[in-house]
Amino acid sequence: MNRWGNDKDAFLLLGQALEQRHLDQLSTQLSVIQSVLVNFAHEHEQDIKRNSEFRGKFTRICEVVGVDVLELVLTGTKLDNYHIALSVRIVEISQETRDINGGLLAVKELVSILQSKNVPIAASEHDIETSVAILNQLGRGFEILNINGKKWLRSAGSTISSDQKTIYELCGFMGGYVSYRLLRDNYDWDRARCKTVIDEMILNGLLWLDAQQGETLYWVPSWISRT
Amino acid sequence: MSTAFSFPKIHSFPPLYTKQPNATIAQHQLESWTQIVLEYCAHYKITSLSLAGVPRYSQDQSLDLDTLPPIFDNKEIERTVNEEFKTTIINHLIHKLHKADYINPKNPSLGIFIYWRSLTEWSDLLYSYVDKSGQLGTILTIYELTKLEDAGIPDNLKYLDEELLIKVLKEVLIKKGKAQILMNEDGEIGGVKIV
Repeated sequence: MNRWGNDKDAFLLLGQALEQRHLDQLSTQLSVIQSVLVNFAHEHEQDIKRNSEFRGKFTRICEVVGVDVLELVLTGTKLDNYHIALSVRIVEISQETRDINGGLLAVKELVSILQSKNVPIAASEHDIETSVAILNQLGRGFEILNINGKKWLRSAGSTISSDQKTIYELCGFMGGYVSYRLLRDNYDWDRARCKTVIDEMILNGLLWLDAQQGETLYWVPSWISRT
Repeated sequence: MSTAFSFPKIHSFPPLYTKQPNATIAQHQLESWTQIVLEYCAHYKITSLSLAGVPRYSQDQSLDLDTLPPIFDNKEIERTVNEEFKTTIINHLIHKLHKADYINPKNPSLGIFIYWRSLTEWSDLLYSYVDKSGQLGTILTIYELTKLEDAGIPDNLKYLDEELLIKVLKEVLIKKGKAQILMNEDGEIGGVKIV
């Protein structure tokens, strides 16, 4: 019984040693590949920037191997790590909040979300614009919109029509909501136009329905985090 | 006296009281509501609610349950969650989050237990108190377990709702073989032995 126990321990140790060796070999190989990729990126920097198909493939390889594309592509330019890190956070936050805000995030709200993180990041609206410009170098398609004197970040993939923008303007003016009547009185929209635009905005998460009072109201979700 | 619960900002957002037509948003809305219910109950040490969301029992004996701010109404913005939506929220708490249970599944109208602390966590608190006070194996009455003054019952167990206590005993401790319930001649619980 005791001997069997010893054998078992010995096998266990041997197994662990083999596994560790295998792991070491793999991680050496991985870091070799990573450094090759980094060198490659520096050598062919211009090609990567110019040719979008090439860039796409290169980016995918980087993702698989665990090389941070952002740092790679930007090491040549004179940007500091702060704005790069910030741009990564911006992408993360846009994705996290997208379900609730339909991809349109008030820049002020973004600033306060950044500050409320476990590791708070202090950022001005200007910093955010700088970081968004970095993202757009990578073809990310973020945009800073100005609606009613307030800045909004529109994240990649979501689109805002001019009618939707008009609704957000009116919401800003009314303290968070619109109604069919308000749209008719202010912009002379007919019922069909109101319904088309509002229904689509609800579908995209850009408006919340409030059907408790006599008149149905539609609210911007950013109201929740307004200060 | 405990301090008043401060509702999160979203509790004053008028559309929160209307069930949202967009499925993704509706999901977020349900999560907001269930979080409010759980935090509210934990704050006031409320362990059961009526189906309308009215507090039924709190361990905090100094509270006047009738004067607490309502969960599902907001007078300032004149919004109320309707019965149908309340049922959806309660069902989400029971079936999806497992943070609530009907007090009596055969008679749901009695209300629900709210588990801001799980049955297992309650059983751990109970067991460790009985253990530390050297009462393992002693027959104790329900009164002695939760209400007796100067017995060193920790605050988080004190005045625990009797119905909930019995549920903890039956569904956790007895199943683990760590407790026995002794019935008296009238068919009521005469005592509890935790081993």
